[in-house]
Amino acid sequence: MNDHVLKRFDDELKKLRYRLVKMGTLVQQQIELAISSLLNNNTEIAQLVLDLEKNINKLDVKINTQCIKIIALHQPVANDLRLVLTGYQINIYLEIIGDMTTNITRDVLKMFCPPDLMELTKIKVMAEQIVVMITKLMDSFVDINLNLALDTLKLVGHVEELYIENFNILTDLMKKDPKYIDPCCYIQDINKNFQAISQQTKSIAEELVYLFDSKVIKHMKIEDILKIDPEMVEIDDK
Amino acid sequence: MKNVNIKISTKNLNLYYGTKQALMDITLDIPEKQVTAFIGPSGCGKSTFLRTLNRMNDLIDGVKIDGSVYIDDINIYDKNIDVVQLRKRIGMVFQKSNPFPKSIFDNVAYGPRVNGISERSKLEEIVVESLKRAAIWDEVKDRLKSSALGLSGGQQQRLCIARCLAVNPDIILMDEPASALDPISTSKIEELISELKDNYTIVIVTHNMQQAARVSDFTAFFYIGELIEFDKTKTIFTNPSNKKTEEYITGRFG
Repeated sequence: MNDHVLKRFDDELKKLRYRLVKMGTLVQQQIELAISSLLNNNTEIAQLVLDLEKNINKLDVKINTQCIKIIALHQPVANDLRLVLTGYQINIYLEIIGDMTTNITRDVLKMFCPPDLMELTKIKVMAEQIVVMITKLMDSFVDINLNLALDTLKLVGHVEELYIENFNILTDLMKKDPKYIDPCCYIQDINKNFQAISQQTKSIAEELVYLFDSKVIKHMKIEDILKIDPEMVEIDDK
Repeated sequence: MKNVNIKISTKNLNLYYGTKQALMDITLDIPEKQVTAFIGPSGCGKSTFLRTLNRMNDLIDGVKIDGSVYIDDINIYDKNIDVVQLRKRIGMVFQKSNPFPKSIFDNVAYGPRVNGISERSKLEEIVVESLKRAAIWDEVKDRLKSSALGLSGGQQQRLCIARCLAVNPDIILMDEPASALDPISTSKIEELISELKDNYTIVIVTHNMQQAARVSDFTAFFYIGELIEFDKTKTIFTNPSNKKTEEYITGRFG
């Protein structure tokens, strides 16, 4: 695609793209740090997560304001309109993921986790899955790759299964030994936050499908999404 | 196009100014009682194409046209077509308002008088109805005998629309009808276009793409004499099929 005749408009859109990538990178970094603090029970790393939250909030406001400014001053259409609309939404979802990551970190700071407990759950697998999803989304946006967004959608179901598995493990542990009640409550909260982050990544993937392909796939099952376009069938599920 | 009747249909229409070809093989169906906008850069042929729809180009020396333009299944370029009768069915509004140096009443009554209506009460009925339909009645009802030239630019343009409606056309062609008007007058014209489409087929040429997006149901994009893309306006402005269209509407031309 050529540059705009109006260079100022081009600069605004480039800046928006840059800021969205930066926002995604910050959130990705925040999640990785939060997971590291969780798995290693490291409060220093947890503090880094809380520090990142401030930067994410600042960037959230900048992106939000910039989208409004572009719409008001340049009345974008077609692919430009889709970038601004989806950028506005993706920014909201990323900021919410940031908040949830902060919640996880606050739990880490509060709880005392018996050394064996984390090994008994699937929290680590779930955390790794979330990192994969966020990474795929960022790559999808940067490389304009529809299939990576669709890959993410397919992983949401796996995270849901892990959530239920973790929930059952935690309740069993609490029933067996009262010493697990306190840490398991915190871990269940973390489990819930990871599940919610997965739902936000689903929303981001849906926005990316609209950005690249102009298709609104909200509230559709993944099987139905694949039926819309034969090109979408070949998805790397690994 | 589903669920819409076709009012105007052009088939393989070519137009030449002398040796220069200005329209190339235009095939297009314009739906009835909808607003269709023509957009494209200067010199793309959109106004020329508009003027083929009421044979206005016949008035220009050296113009040659081949192909066909059907209105209600009648080819308006057939030899036995009465062009004067044809133009009675097709009103036209131009970029610059062109009221006659007469009273407001006489401007609107002009067409019906030419058509042979002389009864005062009938003329009054037509004038009042036309001015109301053109959304200017409340502003001029107390000064119908005043000169039309005393009206503001926006009012003059709506008066011209009223004059056009007075002969009861099926189709209204508009060639940049609001390009010389301020934003409020432009809004009034756009609102009027939306109201008129219930009864008329409207084709509008505009350089203002936001205006095309606001007022039209369908949009045709022209480039260097060719019709590049025609689709529902919401599709053209959110997800055009053609790369050229996308580059033009997003301002990436040049």
